Amino acid sequence: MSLQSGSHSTREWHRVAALGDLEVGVARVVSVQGRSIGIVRLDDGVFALRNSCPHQGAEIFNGGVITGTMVPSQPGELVYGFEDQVIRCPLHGWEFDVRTGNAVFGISPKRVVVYPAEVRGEDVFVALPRAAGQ
Amino acid sequence: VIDCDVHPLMRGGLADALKYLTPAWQQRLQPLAKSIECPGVSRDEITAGACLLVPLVRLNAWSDSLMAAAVASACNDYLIDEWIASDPRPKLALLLPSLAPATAVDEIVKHGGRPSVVAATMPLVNLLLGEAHYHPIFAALQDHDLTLVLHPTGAEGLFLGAPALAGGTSFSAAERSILMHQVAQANLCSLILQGTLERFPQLRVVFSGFGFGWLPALLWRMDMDWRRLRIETPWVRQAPTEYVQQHVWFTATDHSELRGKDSIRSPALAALEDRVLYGSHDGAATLDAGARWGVPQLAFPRWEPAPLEPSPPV
Repeated sequence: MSLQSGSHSTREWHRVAALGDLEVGVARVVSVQGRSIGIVRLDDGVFALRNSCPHQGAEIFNGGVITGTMVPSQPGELVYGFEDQVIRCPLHGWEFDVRTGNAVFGISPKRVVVYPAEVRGEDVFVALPRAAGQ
Repeated sequence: VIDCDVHPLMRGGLADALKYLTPAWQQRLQPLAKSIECPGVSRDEITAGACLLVPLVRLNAWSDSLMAAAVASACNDYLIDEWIASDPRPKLALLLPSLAPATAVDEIVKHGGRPSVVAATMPLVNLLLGEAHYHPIFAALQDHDLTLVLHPTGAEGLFLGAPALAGGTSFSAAERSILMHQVAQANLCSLILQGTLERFPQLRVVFSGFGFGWLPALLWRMDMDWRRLRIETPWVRQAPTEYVQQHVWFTATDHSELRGKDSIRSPALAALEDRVLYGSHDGAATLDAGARWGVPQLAFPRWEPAPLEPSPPV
């Protein structure tokens, strides 16, 4: 038996939404087995992240917006990019990549927990670690 | 011992350097010459085997940028002839007029190739160093591999046009001295957040005479607000602390916050020890050889060791 996180033997898939109910670029917060999870639909897939900012634990999807951000640029220039790929925490403004959970452009080694998400037919499923004893 | 903070005295003030001015500027400045001071120590008061001469002239107390330019240029000529031409111990920081960038660049080009010139100093004015006004000066410093040394002149918080201190006009020199670190904090913040150290990646800056016990708190706040507000200054590509670790030094004496008996001791300060260079300020070097200091040759790569010879008697 593997102890590797995310292996089929240690995680369990849960239906969390109908795909048609998710608006592209707008996060929906769902609760699964007591975990608060932000579901984000983008043009090329659906992503699921723990609704908790790794900085100070704020509910990042409650009031946080899916947005783009300023790309590292030459001094004095503003270059906007990554539209709809960034979640910005409402508490202190830290930004994370919704696809990977990583903080943008190295502002922190901390990351938002990401759960595997899949679209099956018209439904969206998220995989969570199997609860102990199951 | 290398003493990175020594101020060369011109006993007669600008009168010592009058002959280096044009005839017209001699006419203009002769009546004022003795009152234009360059305070510090005489050569025989310097005890270190090697030192950096940082001329202190209150160019930042004057609104007249042409006068500041003429005086800076004359002081440089004087200090080169009288202080460094015949003595291998001192190195010179050229005096630059902040409000006359073309003259500042000319001085760098004219003297920056001399082996004894390893730095430049620029009295601060009420225009933060991140502004584009300074770009030609920084480009010239970078081209000549000279380090920028910033040091209070005493005009700060006192004269219009010099940097203001926060809150209002302080009553005494003691208050201004206590609060002088504000000027360093504001300019360090400006250099990093405006992207100057990205634009001039070889630029090195020494904050001399401002202390540094305030640094951990400033760096903590800069790093935190960079994470929070990075979108305002996306050209800041790494945490502000990283820029300090790569580009910025400070000077301190034995009696400063780090190593004196009343020192502030914290892990955050200890982590910055190698950014702190020894500077006596008064030429009387009393370096504690057991303490850990920053390496002057890293801050001043142009500084080549002088031929070995015994220090003159104290």
